[in-house]
Amino acid sequence: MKTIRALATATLLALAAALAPAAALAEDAPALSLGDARLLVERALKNVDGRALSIRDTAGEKGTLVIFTCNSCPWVKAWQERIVALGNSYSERGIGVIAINANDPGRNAEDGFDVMQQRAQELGMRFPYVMDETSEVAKAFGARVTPEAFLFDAEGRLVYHGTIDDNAKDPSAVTQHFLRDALEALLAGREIAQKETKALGCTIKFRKEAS
Amino acid sequence: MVRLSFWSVAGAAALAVASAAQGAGPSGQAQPVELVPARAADLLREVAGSGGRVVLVNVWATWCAPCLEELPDLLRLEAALRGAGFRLLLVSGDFPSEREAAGRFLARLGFGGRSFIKDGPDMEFIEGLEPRWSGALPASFLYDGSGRVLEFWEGKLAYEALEGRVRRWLDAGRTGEEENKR
Repeated sequence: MKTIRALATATLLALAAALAPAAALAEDAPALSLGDARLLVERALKNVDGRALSIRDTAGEKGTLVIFTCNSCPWVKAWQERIVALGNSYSERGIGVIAINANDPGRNAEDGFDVMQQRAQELGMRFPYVMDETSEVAKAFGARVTPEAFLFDAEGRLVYHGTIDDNAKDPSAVTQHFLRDALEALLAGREIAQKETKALGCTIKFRKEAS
Repeated sequence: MVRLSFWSVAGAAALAVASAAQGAGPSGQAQPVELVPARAADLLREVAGSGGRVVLVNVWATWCAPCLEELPDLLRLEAALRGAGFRLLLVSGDFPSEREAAGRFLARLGFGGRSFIKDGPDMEFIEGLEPRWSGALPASFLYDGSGRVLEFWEGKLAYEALEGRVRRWLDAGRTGEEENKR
């Protein structure tokens, strides 16, 4: 009897689960899958130097690295020097690199354009750091966390999606350099060993009016 | 002019629920916070052993402002619905170096007793809890009493929305139990 009761309860719960939305938030669109093309590549985005740049403008001949980031997230801050070192290094090796801040500065002034400019200068960024002023580029990519990297090959197909490495807090304790290894494999024409990775991070603070 | 800090507001909210919150002793004084390192598999065992019919696992961190804003509501919800079979498991996603700070934050909210801090690699933790989770915080996972995921979401929810989701699953389970008695 208990078994039947438990089964019926489980069935009702399963039915309710099937009817529940898989993801609650509008911005929880699925992320690009491996092999997918870049999206909204023509969208003009305001760079820290004042120019309007699109993802297409920054595409490299050997690939393109798009990193969704921000100024305020403590995990971005923990990784930011490594992100800038990677961006500076690989942008000189045929990879187009663009960092995109999709956060709504209305929710945290630290994510404002002026702070982006300061941060780019302080960190010595030699690649564009642009503002996604409607958060639509981040939504189109299905980006949800900062920092979050999307690496595309020369044909514009996604070959790596995920985080920077396996230890945000302590660079000396990193054992797996996910993004660097993916970049090296792409440049060498090798298979990327780990194509999808994850780490804890901050939610992207999407603009509500753009949803 | 009296300025209310976040701490005083959070503290007042916490006081309202502290006596009913998990870990409160007979005198009403909260027990010391114990943050137990836990991997995803450990948490799933905790869910199954919690005795709850609907269990919410919330991953938060001291550096995550929306997480800190949501915590008093989560504690209030557990106090309100514990008798109906709801359980709350809080998991700090802080770096190990922030463990004490995480414990202090919970204590300020009136929380006492056993709680958790993420252990092991992020990837294993995220995939072990829910493969659809991006890793963004806060993240909440609703389980039934056997440890099956009912629903998950990223980002902060207001109290009413949290309560609505939890009550829906509690009611779904209760309806199932009543059906079985007939």
